Parts: sequence; structure tokens; C-alpha cells
Amino acid sequence: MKRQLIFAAAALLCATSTRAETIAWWLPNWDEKPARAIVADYESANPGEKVEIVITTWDTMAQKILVGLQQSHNAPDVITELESRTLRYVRKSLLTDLTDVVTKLGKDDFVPSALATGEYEGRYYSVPFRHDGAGLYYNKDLFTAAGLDPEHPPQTWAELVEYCKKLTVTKDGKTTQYGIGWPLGNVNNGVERYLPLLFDRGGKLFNQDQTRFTLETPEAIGALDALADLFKTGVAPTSSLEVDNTALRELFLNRRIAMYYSGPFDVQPVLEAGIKLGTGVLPGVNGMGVTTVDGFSLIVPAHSFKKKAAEQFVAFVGQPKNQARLTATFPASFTALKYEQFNSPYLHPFVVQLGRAENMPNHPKWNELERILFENIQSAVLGKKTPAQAMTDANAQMNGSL
Amino acid sequence: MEQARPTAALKRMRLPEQFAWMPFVLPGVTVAVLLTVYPTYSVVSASLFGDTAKGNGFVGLDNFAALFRQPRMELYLWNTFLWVVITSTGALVLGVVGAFALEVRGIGLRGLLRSLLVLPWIVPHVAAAIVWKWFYSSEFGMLNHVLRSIGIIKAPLNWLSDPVLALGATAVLQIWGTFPFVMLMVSAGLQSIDGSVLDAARVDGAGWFSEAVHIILPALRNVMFIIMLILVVWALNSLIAIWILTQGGPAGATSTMPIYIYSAFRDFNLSAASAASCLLLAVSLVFAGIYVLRVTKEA
Repeated sequence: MKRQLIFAAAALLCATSTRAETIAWWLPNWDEKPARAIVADYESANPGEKVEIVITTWDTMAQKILVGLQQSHNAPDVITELESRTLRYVRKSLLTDLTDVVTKLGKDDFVPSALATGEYEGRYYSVPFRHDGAGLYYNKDLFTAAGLDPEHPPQTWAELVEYCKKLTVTKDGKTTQYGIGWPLGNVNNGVERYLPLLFDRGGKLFNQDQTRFTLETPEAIGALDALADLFKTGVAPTSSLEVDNTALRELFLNRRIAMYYSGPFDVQPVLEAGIKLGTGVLPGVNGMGVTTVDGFSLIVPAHSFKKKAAEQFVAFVGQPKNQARLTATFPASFTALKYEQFNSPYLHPFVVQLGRAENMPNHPKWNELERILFENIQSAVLGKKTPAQAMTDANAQMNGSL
Repeated sequence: MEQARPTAALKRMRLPEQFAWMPFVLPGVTVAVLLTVYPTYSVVSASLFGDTAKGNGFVGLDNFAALFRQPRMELYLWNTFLWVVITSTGALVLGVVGAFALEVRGIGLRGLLRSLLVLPWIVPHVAAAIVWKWFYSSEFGMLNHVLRSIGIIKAPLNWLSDPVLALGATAVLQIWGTFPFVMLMVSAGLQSIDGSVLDAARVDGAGWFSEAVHIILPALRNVMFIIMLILVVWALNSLIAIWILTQGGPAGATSTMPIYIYSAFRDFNLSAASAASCLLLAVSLVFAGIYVLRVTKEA
């Protein structure tokens, strides 16, 4: 009797364990809600397939994903990862080739700069679903109070500087409102705001094969000089060195700054706070400036034991309608970009801005190197170094670390 | 006969008298060894391996050499030295003052006061650091508001974004979090001072200052030495205060060795992180060794 019970239990266990193919999908916490809805739809359309969601967070996802990719046992099957980190994994042969999935979804429907983040030697190792850059946010009420046209944001860098001077309010020796703020309290956010200024002036970070940095150039120095000058003239607050993107938005919501750069994800929170919002393209030296772009892709670890199921799921999520549901900003699909939700008057400048965009660097040691660049940017902004000295030092230190 | 056999078997199983302590001590020691020896071995081992042309191979002391070739290593080491000196001394002084203050005759609600003063030690470090970050904010912070209200400053100070102020400001948080430990240890030490010695001194006309300098502080010398060692080791390992408040900025003004290690770890540069950790471990071991010798000597 005892043996029969044991046999029955074992048979039941085997039966239940082989009934459904379960794949594990690692994704960041801000995507959880739409992801669960997409998973529900996928499971309805594919009886027998299950997707288990594992949540990651911004601060820990890079390390967690790198460890997960290197595990030969217990690797996840699908991962949502930052586009700009993808090629680092590809170079270490940690990802599955997803060229067939991209072909099935239609290569030409993807935004080229998004697809390029996962392309290596002619093959594609990721399926992007979110791709965005920055735009200009400004407070129309503060514009009106300063005598500026609220429907005409600055179009050039010179105009931006002029507007900042008018928007900076000082009373009894205390500045209560600044023209513009910058997220110079966070390494990633700070460098992400400097690079567009560099690229707009025709500057480059490295040489062609990414073996040497090229920051000791008039373009790089000029870009940093333009940024530092805003602080020197008092139109940008020194408290910028205490804030990241989120805290910078708080300064904007509290009317401490009249303008700032951010991604399209800030539109809703700003509108909900009751600010009379205006958005525009980034002002460059000769018109529209450059934005850095980044986003998120789906990748499949090379060590996954369920690659076929994973690829099938990635192909489902990569469809334009699902990209549109999952993305917190813009999709990486031209078809999805035409949907009404991405074409509101507030979001339109961000779409236009994608016409002049550069991908964030994907050098294998970028995390370490950008910290060096960031500290030198801070030094120049604080007046501890001239922009020329800061860029010379950054260039030498970064090349020394390579 | 049936009953005698199990007793004889049990007697054979029983440990000899001199090893009777083993079942009580071994489980704890095993856990402690697993949680310290193995991680230490892993870190030391990782510090001796690194990226080579053939993959992750043995590189000997190359990682340590590379550490000292880092352009900003001098800054990290100097900031670490300043951090240890400021936070250890600050916590020691404040803790001693707090302990003495609680022993003042006539002070009411001593128990309540002691509980309030111990609170900073109990509050979770991350939560406290986030609150202090807002407290220091040059835009919204209460500290600037209060100081301006009472006329101490005319314009807001950039506590966390001014390279001159940032290290001191973050050190205040560390001191705030560690002085209660000092206060408790010193309070305990004060209880062990023979009251008759103090009475005799008072009879001889000694004031509170003379009592403190000539009787109390010398009596607390050993306790304070051990406290100082512990504070130094804590300071060498502290990360949370700086990471939450400034992340090592502005412009490297608060970048210490723990910040370097954590940043290297986040960048998955495990070789560099391990080499720096070994360096810090070596320094901490010197202080820990002195502490152990001192405690053993007293025992």
C-alpha cells in the first residue's frame, strides 16, 4: 500500500511538472503592471506556456543581469535590459542570436538606432521595445511672468542662455528661481546631459575603434564651457550637484527652475502636478540639438534551456501593439510610433528630436570611465578646474584606465 | 542485561571530558568560519586573478600595482584618512561628553534622556541618511532654514555640493550614528570607577574639571582605547552615509576607499574591488589585532 502511494505521488509530480513550459522573465519594477497584462494575453493565446516574472530594480539590475547571464544553471530565459549594455554581453558570447525573431517581426519596422544597439557582426542579439531620448521641459507660466512667449521655447543654445537670464529671479540677494537645472548629482544622469552638448558641437568620445578617448578637443572643451558658464553666471543652481533626474523634476515642480531636460516619461507626472507644461526639442548651437538615446530590449541568455519558448515569447512581446503597451516612453517600432498615445502635443517634440540622436556609449568599461568624466565635469562646474583642464584631465585619466 | 547494554553503548558514544565543550561551541564556530573565512578567501583569491589574454588568469600582485597606478588613488586614500580621523574623534568626543552629561547630579529623567540619545544608533542607517540628505538640501533643507532664521548664515550653504563642506557634512551623519555606542561604553566605564576616590578628591578641594582630567579620564583610558579602535574599523568600512548623501562627490571630495570598492563592484570590476578590499582588510587587521591583544592582556 505504501509503495503504491509513493508511486502515485511520483507519477502525479511528473505529470504536473511536464504539463506547462515555464519560462522566467526578468524585468524592472516600473514595467511590472503592463508586463503582467501582456503575459496574461500570451498565456491565453498559448495554452501550456507559462511565464514567471522576476522583478529587478534600477540600482541592482546591471549586476544581477550580468551574474544571471553567466550562470550555466538556473539562468533566466528572457531579460529586459538597457540597450546600451547589450553589446557588452554579446562580446562575451552571453546572448542568444535573435536575428530570426527580428526578421519575423520585420527589421525595417524597427527604429535603426534602437536595432543597432544589439547588432554585432551582422546579427541581432536583442529585440528593442523602448527607445527614447530627451527633450526640453519648460514652465509656461514662468515664461509669461518673465515676459517670454510661452509658445516659443528656445531654439538655439544662445536663445537658451538669454532665456535663462530672464527667467532667473533674485530678490534681496537670494535667487528664488533659476533658468535651468541639471542632474549633476548622479553619474549616469550627469554624463547623459553633457554628451548631447558634446555631440551637437561635432565632438566625439572616442576614436573609430574605441581604443582611445578624444576629449581634449575644442568641441569637448566648448561643450563643458557652455555648461559651466550657466553656473558661473548664476542661471543654474549649484544644488544641481545634489540632484538626480527625479530630484531635478522636483525642483521643476516646485518652480525653483523654469526649464530642464528630461525624457518623455516626465510628461505625465509634471501634468499631474498642475504645471502649465511646454515641451520642445533640445536647443543646439545651430538649431535643433542632439539627444542621446537609450532604451530597453529583450535578450535571451545563451545559457537558457528554453530558447525556443523564449524566442516565441520575445516575438510576441516585440509586436508593435505589445511594444506600445510595455514601453513607458516610446516604442522602438515605427508602426507603434504612429499610435495616437505617442503623438500628443507634449510628446511630439520628443519624436521630432529622435531625428537627431546618438546612442549612449557601449564601451565595456564605460561604467568606470564615465565616473571619471563625471567628476571632471563637476570640477569644472564648481570652478575647481577650467573646462580645458577638466577635459585634459578626464582624457588622460580615462585613457590611462583603458 | 537488556538495560545494561544501552548504557554501555551510550558511555562509549560520550565524548571524553576534555572535549565536552565541542557540541556547544562547534555549531557557532562553524557558521562564523563559513561567514568570514570563506568570503575572505574568495576576496583574496579574486584579488590575485584578473583579465588576461587567455581569460581570467592568475596575475599575482598586478591588481594591487594597478590600484596604486589609478590616477585618483591618492585622493581616495587621503579622503579615507580624513574620514577616519574626523568621524572617530568626533564620535569619541561627543560620546564622552554625552556620558558625562548623563552623570551630572540632579539631572532629571536620566533614563529617558539616555534612550533618546541612543536612538541614532538604533535607527536604520539608510533611512537616517535619506532624511539627512533632505535636511542638508540647499534648496529645501531645514538646516539652512534654521541657520538663516537665527542669523548664523546669510545665504544658504551647499552642504553636499560644496567640496569644502561635503566631507564634513557627511562625517556629521557618521558621528551622529556612532556616538551613542561610545556614550554607552563610557557610561558603563564610569560606573566602574570607585566612588570613594572621587569623594576623597572632592574633600581635597578638586573641582569637576580636575576630577575629570586626573581621575575619571585616566580610569577610562583602556575603555576609550578599545572604543577608538572599534570606531576606526567602523570608519574604514563605512559606505552608507557617503553613498546616500553624495555618492563620493562633488568632484571626488567625499570619495573614500569603501566608495571605490563599491563602485568597482558595481562596475563588475571584481579584481580591482577585491584588491582594494584586501588593502582595507590589511589596515583593519592591524587595528583589530591591537584590539585583540589588548583585550587578551586585560583578561
